Amino acid sequence: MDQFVTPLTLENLLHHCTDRSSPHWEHSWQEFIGRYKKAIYNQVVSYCSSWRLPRLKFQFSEVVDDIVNDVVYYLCRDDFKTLKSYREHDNEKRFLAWLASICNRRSGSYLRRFFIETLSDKNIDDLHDSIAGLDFDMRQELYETVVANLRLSSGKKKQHKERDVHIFMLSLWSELSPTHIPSLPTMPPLSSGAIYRIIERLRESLKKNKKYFF
Amino acid sequence: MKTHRFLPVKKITSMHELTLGQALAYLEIELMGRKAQPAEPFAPSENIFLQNLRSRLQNMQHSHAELLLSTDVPKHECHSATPYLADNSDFFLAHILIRKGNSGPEPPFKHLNDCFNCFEIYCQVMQDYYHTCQEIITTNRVRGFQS
Repeated sequence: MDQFVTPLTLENLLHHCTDRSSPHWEHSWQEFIGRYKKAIYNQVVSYCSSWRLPRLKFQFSEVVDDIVNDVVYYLCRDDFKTLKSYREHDNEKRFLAWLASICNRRSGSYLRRFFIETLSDKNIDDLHDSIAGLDFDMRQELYETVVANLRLSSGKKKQHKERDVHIFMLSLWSELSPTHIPSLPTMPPLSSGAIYRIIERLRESLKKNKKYFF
Repeated sequence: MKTHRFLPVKKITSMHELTLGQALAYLEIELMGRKAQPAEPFAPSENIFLQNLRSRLQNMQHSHAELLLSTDVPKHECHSATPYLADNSDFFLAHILIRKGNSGPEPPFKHLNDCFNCFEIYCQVMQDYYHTCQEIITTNRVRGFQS
């Protein structure tokens, strides 16, 4: 049996971590977690801190723990497919940057799901600040996720589907409330009651269908 | 000018204090034959901006306006680096000032849902326009301003 000398080089560490038959597999994972847990944790905390969702602040540590577990699961799933895909074994700094990008992607995906869950049971007005606090890329990903989910929720052949999705997004994204939207000259003739009903209907269908989206 | 809390998107008129949405609200008042005074007099650059919009509106060909009022954006004219609505004052002139009432063609909803860049620009212009309308109604007591 090879001698297990710590700390391992990055190349050896990744080699043992991704080979379940290696006699050092378990030790390597202990070392991996010891070496990178703090970096993963800090990255996830930093990403989550930029999302000021109303429910998030009360569940912050649980959410961060969930995401950290998800990152480790993501690295290991499908026979360590993601971890094996990393090629620059001689560069610790690049590995940390790569790990940070994975943390950001997993956190983004988790938080977008969290946002949609919040959206389905919170008042839209409470979410403006959360959106405005995000940077451009995060806002864009969130926007595209919500639009895609709304389209799925509204069914295939719904008349005025695109109009209704737009109205929902306008009230979510801007500070224009359902009472303001009918006054916009670009809007079709709809009363504020009709706008409220469209928003509520889409929120309900988001709630009903959220288990299918992620 | 009084400013509102806007979403952090690129201002459509970065050279001017007055945003496109705000300018369109003042132009709409003018088209109704009324005069709305801003809380502070316009700066020279803002006056030039308004003048440019007035002449663009006057010189807009019927066919061009019809094209802008179509329910979809022209193919291949929107890219992430240069979104269709970025600096496209003609689009907003057509949709806000030419398309009178709520009976004209709808805005390109599908494109706005597909294109986040255009959506944020649209949102910003609409917010500015709406809040300026409200401000004009409140401070100048212009009645019957909005249909």
